[in-house]
Amino acid sequence: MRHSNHNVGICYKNRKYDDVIMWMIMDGLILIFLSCFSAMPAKRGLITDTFKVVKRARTRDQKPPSPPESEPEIPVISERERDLQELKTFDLDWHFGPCIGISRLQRWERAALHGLDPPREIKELLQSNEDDPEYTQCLWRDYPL
Amino acid sequence: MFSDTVVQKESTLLGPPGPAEPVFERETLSYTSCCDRFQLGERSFNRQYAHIYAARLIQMRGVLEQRAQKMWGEERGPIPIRKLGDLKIGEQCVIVGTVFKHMELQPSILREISEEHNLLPQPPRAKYISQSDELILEDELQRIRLEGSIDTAMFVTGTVIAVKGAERNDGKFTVEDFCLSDLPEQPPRQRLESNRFVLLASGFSLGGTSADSMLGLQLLVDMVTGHLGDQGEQSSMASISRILLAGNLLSRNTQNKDSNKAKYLTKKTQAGSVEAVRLLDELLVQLVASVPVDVMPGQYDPTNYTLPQQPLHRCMFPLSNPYPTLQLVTNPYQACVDGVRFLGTSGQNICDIVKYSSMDDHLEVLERTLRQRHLAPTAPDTLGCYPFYQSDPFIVDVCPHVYFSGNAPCYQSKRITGPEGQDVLLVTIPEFSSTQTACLINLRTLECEQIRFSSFSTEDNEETEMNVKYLGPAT
Repeated sequence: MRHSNHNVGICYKNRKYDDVIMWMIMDGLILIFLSCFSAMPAKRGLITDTFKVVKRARTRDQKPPSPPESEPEIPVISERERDLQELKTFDLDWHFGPCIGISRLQRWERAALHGLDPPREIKELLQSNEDDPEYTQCLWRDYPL
Repeated sequence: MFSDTVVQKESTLLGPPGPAEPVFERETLSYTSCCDRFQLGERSFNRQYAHIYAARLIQMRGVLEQRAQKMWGEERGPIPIRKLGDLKIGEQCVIVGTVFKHMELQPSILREISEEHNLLPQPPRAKYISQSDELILEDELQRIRLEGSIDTAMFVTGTVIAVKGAERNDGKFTVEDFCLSDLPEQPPRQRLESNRFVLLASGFSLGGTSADSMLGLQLLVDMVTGHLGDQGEQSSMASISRILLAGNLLSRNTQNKDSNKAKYLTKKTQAGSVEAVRLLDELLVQLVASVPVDVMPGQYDPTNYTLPQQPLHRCMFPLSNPYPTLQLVTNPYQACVDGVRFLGTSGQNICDIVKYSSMDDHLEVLERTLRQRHLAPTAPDTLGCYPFYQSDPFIVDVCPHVYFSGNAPCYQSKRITGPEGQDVLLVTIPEFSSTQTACLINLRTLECEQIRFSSFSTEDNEETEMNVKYLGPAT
């Protein structure tokens, strides 16, 4: 409780205004909750009251915290990013079986072997970037088994 | 039949030795090994087993969908085949997927770890099935519980099947009927003019505690190499043109089980398998000098444990190694001998299914594995298996003419026919050390016959033991 104001101060400096509102509400809620909690031993069966109070506090506020505004996306995507996006959709296509533990090319070849018609472009993409692990390995390459 | 061809010539044994002993040329066969699919190139264990199940389902789905249409789709147009994600409640349809049998009693390492503080590990059992087992069918994305007219205890995890039925309100699938993929296509067999035989044996259990089987084993070797009988018998032995040893040539006792013994205590002791392999080498050298021999490894032999087991190393057999007739082969074994396709294992797959299903008879299990087109459905669940990713090598895509499994408790054989007229001989090769029995297959007629080497004494002993047991309670 002591440090809550301090927190708000930091938030105010670093975040956008809406965020600060949210933080303040959160802190307020905690304050109310804690005060009820500390008062609880005096009265009995007040835990329901506690929750009621919390709910009232929320409805009273009237202004729901809006999500942070999303940054306007840069419309221009580099070729590499587009390639990687395409490879990612290939990884996520369940028709070709699991992708963890084998390279993308191995997975492509398995699909071709069993007549599943994997997209031709994927193979070309993989073969033209043989040395780049971002291309050759699957999406979850950094995760251990 | 082999026994019909063995005829003694009169007075060749009792007469005086002739000026020149006759020489019987052994029949030679054309032989092509088809074990490539079971040879491991790179050995990478960085993969999960999800790949092998995925490959299995991809490979089997087409076949099963065809079978399902043929079986159920005749009357009123094709029956809908659905993925589990597209099921509609109440609609009759066919689903294809991999069976998972949920078993209460199945040993689990996680349970052992969680219970290790207050409970002993689960005792090993002969069978791990129980009344509470449930069948679950899995496809690429989902799983569904199966109920209705399907015999839970007969199935094992890993089998790919097609089931007909409908989904109920509670999310379970009521099964009306199921179908297996049944026998694959079979290449035609060559017509042979003469009788030629292949001898199959397994389970020599060398290096074991009992030396009973050594006499039988030596009799077998002497018979095949033509050191027994008279000239008539010897000439018929020359028609045995190949020998196949299906695993467990070394005894279980040769494996060092007590690994918790201190290192310095075991420093000077020699591994039990060394002596046993030397014994095997001495037997093999007698055989390979006269006839081609294929040696498959088994569960207790010194090679890798996981299926497919790789051939025993040649350097273990210094005596028989120089002979080109010694063929060291992989454990699931596939070869074409004179146009007859052989396929089989040393028996681990069959023993494992016996443990996890209600079936007891090795021959019944053997037939079932062929009908579901999979050598070892329980791998990798309860049977050790290499993590394949590209395809499942245990799927039977060409129907063999002879399908065998080794180390069975007794000799059995059966001819089965498939829906497209396939003709297959099923053989369970008995364990030699306990039964003293080998089998002979006639390549011309595909008939099979057992040949026993048991001396009278062992049978007599069994009988007297039985008598004692029988008399015991009466007195």
